[in-house]
Amino acid sequence: MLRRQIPLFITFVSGLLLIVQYYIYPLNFIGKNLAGWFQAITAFAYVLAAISLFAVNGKKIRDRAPGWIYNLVLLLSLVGTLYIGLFIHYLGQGYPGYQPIDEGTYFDWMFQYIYNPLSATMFSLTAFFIASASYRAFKARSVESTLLLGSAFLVMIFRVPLGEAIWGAVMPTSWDITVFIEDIIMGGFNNAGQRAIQIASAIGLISVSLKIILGVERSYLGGD
Amino acid sequence: MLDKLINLDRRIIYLIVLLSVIIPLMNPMGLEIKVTDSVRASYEAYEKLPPDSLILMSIDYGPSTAVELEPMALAACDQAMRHNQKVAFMALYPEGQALINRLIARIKTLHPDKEYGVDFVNLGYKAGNEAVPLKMGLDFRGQFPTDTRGTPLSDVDMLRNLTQLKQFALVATYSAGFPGALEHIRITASEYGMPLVVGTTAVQTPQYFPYYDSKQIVGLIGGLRGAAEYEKLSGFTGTATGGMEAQSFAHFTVAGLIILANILTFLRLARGREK
Repeated sequence: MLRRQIPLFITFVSGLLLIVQYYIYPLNFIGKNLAGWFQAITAFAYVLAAISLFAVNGKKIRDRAPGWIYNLVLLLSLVGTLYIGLFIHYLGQGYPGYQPIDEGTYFDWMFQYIYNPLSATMFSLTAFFIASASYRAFKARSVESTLLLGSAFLVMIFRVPLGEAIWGAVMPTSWDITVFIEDIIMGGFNNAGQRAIQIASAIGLISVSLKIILGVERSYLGGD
Repeated sequence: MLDKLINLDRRIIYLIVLLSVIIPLMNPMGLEIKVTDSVRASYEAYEKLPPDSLILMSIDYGPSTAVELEPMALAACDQAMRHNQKVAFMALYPEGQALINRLIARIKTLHPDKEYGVDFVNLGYKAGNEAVPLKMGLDFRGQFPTDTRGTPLSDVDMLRNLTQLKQFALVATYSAGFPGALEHIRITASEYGMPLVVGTTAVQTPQYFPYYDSKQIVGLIGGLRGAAEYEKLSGFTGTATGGMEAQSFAHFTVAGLIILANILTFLRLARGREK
């Protein structure tokens, strides 16, 4: 019983205090202190994530689940990175307060020459997948998809120098495609759409937050 | 034949895309880059600041998006250094701190006369997303008591007299997503009224356009295109200008492939109806 009521009470009080302090100036200090707490909780979330990673992957390694070797690689990488980042100082370099993650350290070397190229490569590969997926899926099947296709084409073709050069060579100079895309498509249609989405999602967020504060929405507690 | 073309082997598509990127990189055409208002406004935000102005630069991206965001951050750093402005780096993004190291290494190469602690400083990464700018505005030294080297801010030459966020003349975030630009827009710009320049990936640019339009942010630099425009304005020789040619051809290739696929699909439909 208390296992559910205490978290609900904490949520209600924290939510209410944060709303009240925003509107009543003398109570602003509450928000300031809670912001500090929030930062501490966020930092602890990283520790929790590491523990969870060990628990999930450790179980797969122990059970020799299919692909367990990749789980092992992941855990070894985690331990290795943590060890180098926390304990290995680059010998011979330094100034007061020199940190193991500063420039020129082993950790920095690992980041620049292992993590950095791997991460960039993974992201670059999406270009190939997007091209292949566009070829197969981006079809003008309805009015909506044709409109989407048309505006995507305009932005894709004429927001790059080659498209602008071609447009400039064919059309009169007074018809500037860059201005059209910047002012009409991005500043007009896009702004209207984005604002609608942002306002609607903000209202939705307020509604969900109120439900959580008042204890109507309890799924974050687990169970029902 | 039609079906074969519609179901074109993806390896052929990969090869076409690869060639469309490699060929322009090897044979640059020197295409002209037109500067848009949002990028010009970002450039002017730095340009109009007097020497010794303090700039807070938030490096909120990782290696995967560095190709788009690092050129604009580097061009802005170079511009600030040329104008003898002081840059304090921070990060809301965990990987940001290592990329600040890389920016600092480049600054040292480009401006050997500039010194750590005097012209630029690394305040590092802080966990807490939105709470970080919130606490920065309430108590800047409480949020960043030291730089990443452990030196108290009162002993860092350029930040000796800094106690409040409002003492910065400009805040800029180069952001790949969460946490980043949105946190700075909500708190740093909207709550504390700081002038904010946002540099972001091309994919995210449409999301931030309303904030530029409503003047909640003073400038917006979108993707590699924005970075290339910035390089043109500042006269900085970076990687964005060359990259734009590859991007131009890649965009045309993908657009061409989509047109081809649509024509083929339309033809197949027309044949089906005839039968």
